[in-house]
Amino acid sequence: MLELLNCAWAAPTIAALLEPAVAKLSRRARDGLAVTACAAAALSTLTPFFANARGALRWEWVSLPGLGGVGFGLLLDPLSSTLAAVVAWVSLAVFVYSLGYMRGDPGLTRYWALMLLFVGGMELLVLSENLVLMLIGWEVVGVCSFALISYWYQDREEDRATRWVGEPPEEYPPSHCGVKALLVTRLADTLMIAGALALALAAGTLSLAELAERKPDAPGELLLASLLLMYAGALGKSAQLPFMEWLPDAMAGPSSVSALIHAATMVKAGVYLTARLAQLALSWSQFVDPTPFFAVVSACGVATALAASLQAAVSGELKKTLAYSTASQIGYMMAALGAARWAGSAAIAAAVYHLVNHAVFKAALFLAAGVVIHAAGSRFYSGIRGWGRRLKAVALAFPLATASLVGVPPFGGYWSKELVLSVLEAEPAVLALAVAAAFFTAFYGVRMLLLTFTGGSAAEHAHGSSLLEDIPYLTLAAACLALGLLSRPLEAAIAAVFGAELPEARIVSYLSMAAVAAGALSAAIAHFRGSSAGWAEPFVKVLRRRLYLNAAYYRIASGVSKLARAVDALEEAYAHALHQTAAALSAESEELAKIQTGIIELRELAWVAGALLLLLLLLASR
Amino acid sequence: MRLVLLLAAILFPLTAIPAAAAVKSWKRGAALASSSLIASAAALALSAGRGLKEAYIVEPTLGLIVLDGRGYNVAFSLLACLVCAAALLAAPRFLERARRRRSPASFYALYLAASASLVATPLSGTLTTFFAFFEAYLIASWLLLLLWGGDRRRGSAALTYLVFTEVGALLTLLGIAVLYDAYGTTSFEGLRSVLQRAHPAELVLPFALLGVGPLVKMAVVPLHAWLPAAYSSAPIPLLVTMTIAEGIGGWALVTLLSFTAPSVLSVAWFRLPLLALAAFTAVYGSLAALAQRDPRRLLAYSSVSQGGYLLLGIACGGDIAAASALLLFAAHSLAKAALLAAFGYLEELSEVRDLEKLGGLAPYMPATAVSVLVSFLSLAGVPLTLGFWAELEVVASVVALLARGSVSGLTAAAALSASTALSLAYGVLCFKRVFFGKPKLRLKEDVRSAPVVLALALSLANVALGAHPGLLIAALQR
Repeated sequence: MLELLNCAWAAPTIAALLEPAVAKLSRRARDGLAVTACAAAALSTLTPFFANARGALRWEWVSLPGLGGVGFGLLLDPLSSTLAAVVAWVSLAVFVYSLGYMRGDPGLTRYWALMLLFVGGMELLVLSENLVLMLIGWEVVGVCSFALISYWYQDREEDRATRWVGEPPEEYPPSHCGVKALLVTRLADTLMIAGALALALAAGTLSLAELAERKPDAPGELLLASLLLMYAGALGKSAQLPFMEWLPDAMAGPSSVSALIHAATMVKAGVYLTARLAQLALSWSQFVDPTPFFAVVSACGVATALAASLQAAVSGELKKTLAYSTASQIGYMMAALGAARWAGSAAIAAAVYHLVNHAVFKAALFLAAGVVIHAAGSRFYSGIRGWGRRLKAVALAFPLATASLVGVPPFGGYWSKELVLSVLEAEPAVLALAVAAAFFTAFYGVRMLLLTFTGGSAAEHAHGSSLLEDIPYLTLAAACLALGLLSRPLEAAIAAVFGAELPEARIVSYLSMAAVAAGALSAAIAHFRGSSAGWAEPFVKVLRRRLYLNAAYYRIASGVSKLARAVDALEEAYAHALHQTAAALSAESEELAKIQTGIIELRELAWVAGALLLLLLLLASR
Repeated sequence: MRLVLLLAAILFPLTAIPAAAAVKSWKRGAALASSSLIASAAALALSAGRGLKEAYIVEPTLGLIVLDGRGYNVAFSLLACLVCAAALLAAPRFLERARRRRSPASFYALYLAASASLVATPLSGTLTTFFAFFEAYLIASWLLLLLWGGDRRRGSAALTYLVFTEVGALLTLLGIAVLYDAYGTTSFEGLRSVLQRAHPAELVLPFALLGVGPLVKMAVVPLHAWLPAAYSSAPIPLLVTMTIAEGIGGWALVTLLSFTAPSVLSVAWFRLPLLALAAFTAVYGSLAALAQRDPRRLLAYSSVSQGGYLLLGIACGGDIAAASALLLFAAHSLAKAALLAAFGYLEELSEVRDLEKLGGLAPYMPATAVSVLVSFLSLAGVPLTLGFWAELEVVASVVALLARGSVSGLTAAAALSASTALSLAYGVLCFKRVFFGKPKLRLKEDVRSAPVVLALALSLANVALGAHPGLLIAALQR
């Protein structure tokens, strides 16, 4: 029965390949195939829950010299099963939404093919039994992300208000954003590949299941360095500091893409990988001291949680706020994973619990944001003010999902964030920063609500969204509430499958609630007073310039470009020097050619002189 | 009955040369040449796995032609043969229009001579056989460049090519002479058994000399200056053979350093400069490619960079060297041939060789866009392409060598791995310039035209082999 789980990656992948051919037959069939394949994948991800299965499926695929056999196999454990289900079901919601949201788009066949390939790649990533297969899934989703961010690749000026991203001087068209995302994440991925291969060579296996059980044949520092290199890949994919800034620009893609790839699924790949690394670091603790690894994970996580929440608080665009929010929330998950040193599997359970809740509320927010931007014809708050309340389904779903994001009880986000903060109790500095991030989360959440729902002209008529668009985010918003109401049994289930004893939240809970209340109140005051940031103005300016991190990326790119031009100049000089040498040799040969005067007497004289010289030499040698 | 499949594989294209020299039609010439190469490929395919070894006496001692169809040799040869045959598909299109007044006879005759030499070189069982075929390719390709080069600078490009490759070949010949003088054999197998007893340090000089010819073909910096010049002038099918020749250079080095005398790589002052040269070439080529506006020069520097990665895998030695060389050869040949076909087609349609003047072509040329993207992704080692496996093996060999017990070694390996991001950068940026953004030219592709079909077929082959790399890896068993 577990073989059915292959459907999770195979059905979307096969459908992706069939899409161009089916599109030639009928557009309806093309759309139907996409949704059906995704539904099949979603249903198959329930198999492990019903069969209560763990273990691995494996078929021999290829034997790599020096690295050993790479099986084509799936690994079933609580982590992979949960992630696979989240990916597939959120994908299904986004696919249904796309039926309405993308209707009439001329590139829809390309859209479906890429979305399906993405779902297949993502399922492969989380279910893969070995490092190579995981790397394949990892890179496939990266390429799909590039192609989908660049979906409106013609960069038309008339789409500037809706399909570009940022404000001058940091405003970019979709094709630029796609390339940026691909290059930034790929740079991190190359480090990860080196780390993964170092781990595999040390342990003598590529299998994820076997890795933890093997005794690594390498010194502790090398194992630590390998773990950190792999973590670099997670930082890139999950848009964590210092690789964070590609994610806000990825919002140039369609909102459905932002919801699926850049909120609910792909960016979670880093959390998944870090969870696997945390498990590995814990099981190898007798060979390597994992403290530095966990410290780095904690530090990067909580720093991103705070920095991204601050940037979300000043963002002038709805989707960009949500993008920074995603980086910030993933920062929470990473910080929790960093606490696995003390909290063990409870930390991993907390991160996964928050991941599930975040996937649900953030997908709802992005899908609703897409409807708002579509209706208002603007991605900026200045253009969408008041549009939220004119769209009934949005007016219902958006506040619910925002409440879950902010961490208002009894929504799902509240419980998982509490759990994350509870596991951070052992690290007061990290906890303090996480609570500060909670304050800013409430601030930007309430600000986003107020800017979307208040103000604007009441006379304007809203473009209606279709039922196909509304149902998915309404369902997801309802799920935010349902996940909250079912928090007790859910926590118990998570504790059971991860074999963890979840900590009780006490003081932390009050701290976090106070931070949320203060953040929400501050946002409301700032909004209704409408005054400038006052003393915080210089700070806000730095935040609006994206902490100069984005500028740093371009500085690095400009440095590489300068180096490239220098190499090119060197090449020209080299080619010139070769030509000069050839010319000099040619001139020399012309000089030598002058010896050949054509005067017979001179030639005869030279002949005789040569013959005499030879004779003399022969005589001298005797 | 004694099988002479290896000889047949070489003779099929060679015997077609007189007929090719008489053709007057571009299409008939292409059909004749490609069918002879397909026959050659069939002979090679039949020889695969049979462990054939054939010897033919041309002249006693040095004049012995030994063909060895064991291990990875046939895989290199077969791939070279198939890609050479495929490139002929687009030859009439690329050359007929450009050189309308010239007879195709000399082109096809020389192309067959070059292809036969490329097919034969990896089947060599002795150094002299290798040198003879290698030299034959150099002469045929030089003549092709000189006679069929596309611009006014072809004479200078051909001269640069000839000087670099011939100096390299002469040094290789010197290395062969030194080895023959010292050990009395030029057979790879004979040398392998004799050299096991030799002190590794003694082998450094002859193997350094032997390596120069292949290094020139692999366009390792600073021996690469002929390549950008040749790429600027040469006809597209010739450039495809040059890409293959680069991989065949890799075959020669693997055979020399991993099979014949693996102990040479244990000499640190031989291996470390080789590693440094490889890493420098890989990064230098990528950086130079990033700065180019002419697609031909961009592809030239991309080949320089790929030559660096090829050398990197080989210089690391060990079990992985041959695998990384074979996979990288296959991935690079397929990807670069597809890119050459696509950009050659673009050049022909637009009469533009400046990336800045192209843009927004994706809606007008979707098939070309897909092939270009797939090929660039393969060069960058992205999964679902053969390039992924090649990169994995190269990085694995670097990690296995450098990271053994040392964090600084792992850091160096990670830095080299990160340099592959540069390959992605020049590829994706070039793709973006040509296919994304506002349309600057209104070109329309004909999906049935030979270059588009060729580029698509090669990209498909790249992805198919990426899905089943075992087909190639199985060929490594010796």
